[in-house]
Amino acid sequence: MQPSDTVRLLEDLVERHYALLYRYAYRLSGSTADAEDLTQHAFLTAHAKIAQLRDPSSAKSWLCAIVRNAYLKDRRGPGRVVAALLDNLAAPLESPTDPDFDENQLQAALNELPEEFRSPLILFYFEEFSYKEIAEQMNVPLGTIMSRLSRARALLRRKLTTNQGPRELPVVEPAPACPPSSDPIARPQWIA
Amino acid sequence: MDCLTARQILQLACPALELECPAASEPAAADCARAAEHVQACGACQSAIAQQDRFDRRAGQMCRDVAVPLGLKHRLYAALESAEWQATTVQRALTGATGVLVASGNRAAQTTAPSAASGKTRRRIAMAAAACLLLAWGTWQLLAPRPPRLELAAIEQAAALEPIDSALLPNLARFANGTAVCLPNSVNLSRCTIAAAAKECWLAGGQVAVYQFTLKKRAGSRSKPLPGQILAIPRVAVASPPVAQVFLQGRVEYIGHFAATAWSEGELVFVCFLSGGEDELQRLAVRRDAS
Repeated sequence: MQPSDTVRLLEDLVERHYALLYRYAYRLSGSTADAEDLTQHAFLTAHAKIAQLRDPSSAKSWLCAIVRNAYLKDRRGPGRVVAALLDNLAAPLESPTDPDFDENQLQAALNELPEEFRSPLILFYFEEFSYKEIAEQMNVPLGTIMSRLSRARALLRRKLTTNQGPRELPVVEPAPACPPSSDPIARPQWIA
Repeated sequence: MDCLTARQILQLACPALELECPAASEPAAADCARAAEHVQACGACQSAIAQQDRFDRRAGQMCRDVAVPLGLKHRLYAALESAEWQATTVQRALTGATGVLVASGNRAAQTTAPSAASGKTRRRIAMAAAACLLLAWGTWQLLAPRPPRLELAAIEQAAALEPIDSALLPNLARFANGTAVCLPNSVNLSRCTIAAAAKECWLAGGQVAVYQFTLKKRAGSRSKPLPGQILAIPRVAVASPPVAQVFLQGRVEYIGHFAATAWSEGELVFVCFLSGGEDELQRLAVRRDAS
């Protein structure tokens, strides 16, 4: 690929996807500063590894995977990770009324979801990705994504319905490291 | 099929009742169909699923409703430009190093007798040449002038959205790089009340000269005089100077309460802001009188 083609392709990627990436990064991290850093990191990584993008139509998933990997990389270390008890969450919630919640409560509830549930849920709510694309992006089987989504939706709704705010969840230490993607396209070089 | 099983199947495989059954597995497809049948006949299930659907729609809408920061796209472009520039520079340096290495290898082969021109000597010469090149490249990296970094869009946004109080700013006759500050020739300022001297202002990390002015009201008009300002920035400091060479040759943008247009003239890039619309900007379009 000629350098001018690369520049044009990258400009096109920025034009098409920067808003989506920022929103995804914001919902993942819950912080505007982190979201902007993650978005910039994603495009710089894309610049460095643009040759790995064989199919430009899959650029959106590729960029989202870069954002997620960068986010996971940032979170690794001695931090505390909230792990939810997800047993019995598959049972649909019986609630006589619709939950009333605002943007802050939603973000707080999302922040407390384990990452492997939060990422697919955000992507699902963005309505930009099919189950198959989410599964490919997270490098897990389709059935796992369906199961996680089902549980994540139930957990999110339960949190927002029962307490009208974030519920304290048990904390597990040390943080379980999320497995990096094994897909060479979606995996930035700096992930060991 | 009971209610719980039906809802679990539908929630697992068919969010929002889209009935997307997993893969092509026969039993799952059959289960989905049976669950859907049950739901169609069960009011309680329909109500529960509709409630989940409403929740999903609301949460989804909120999830998507995130304001993207102003100027993010320009900052991304700037970061990519910088990365591209660095990559190109390194590539050029490496290409140059390879060329010199080949040349020095050839020269070594010519100047030494065939018997003495051992591979070891060539390798030493090549390594020395490579070290010299690396040193030269490193020095050049440190001393070479950096590419322009100022983003005009960011300066425009900052100038339009943050009021500039020129009374508090020092006068500016010459930019840090030596370029003289002056007014543009292609703007008719005869209908304006304008400060004699430009003020120094730092916007989006760049040194900018600001001339604030007031466009007098039209004769017989009851409208108020319109405030405006002309920014001047050294052309060499702007990442992508405007192509337009005179006032209003480029497009007019609306930023905040201002109509704005940018152009390059001489050594400077100018941006003219005027409260109001394009029609008012047109009043400044006639070439300035010689006086």
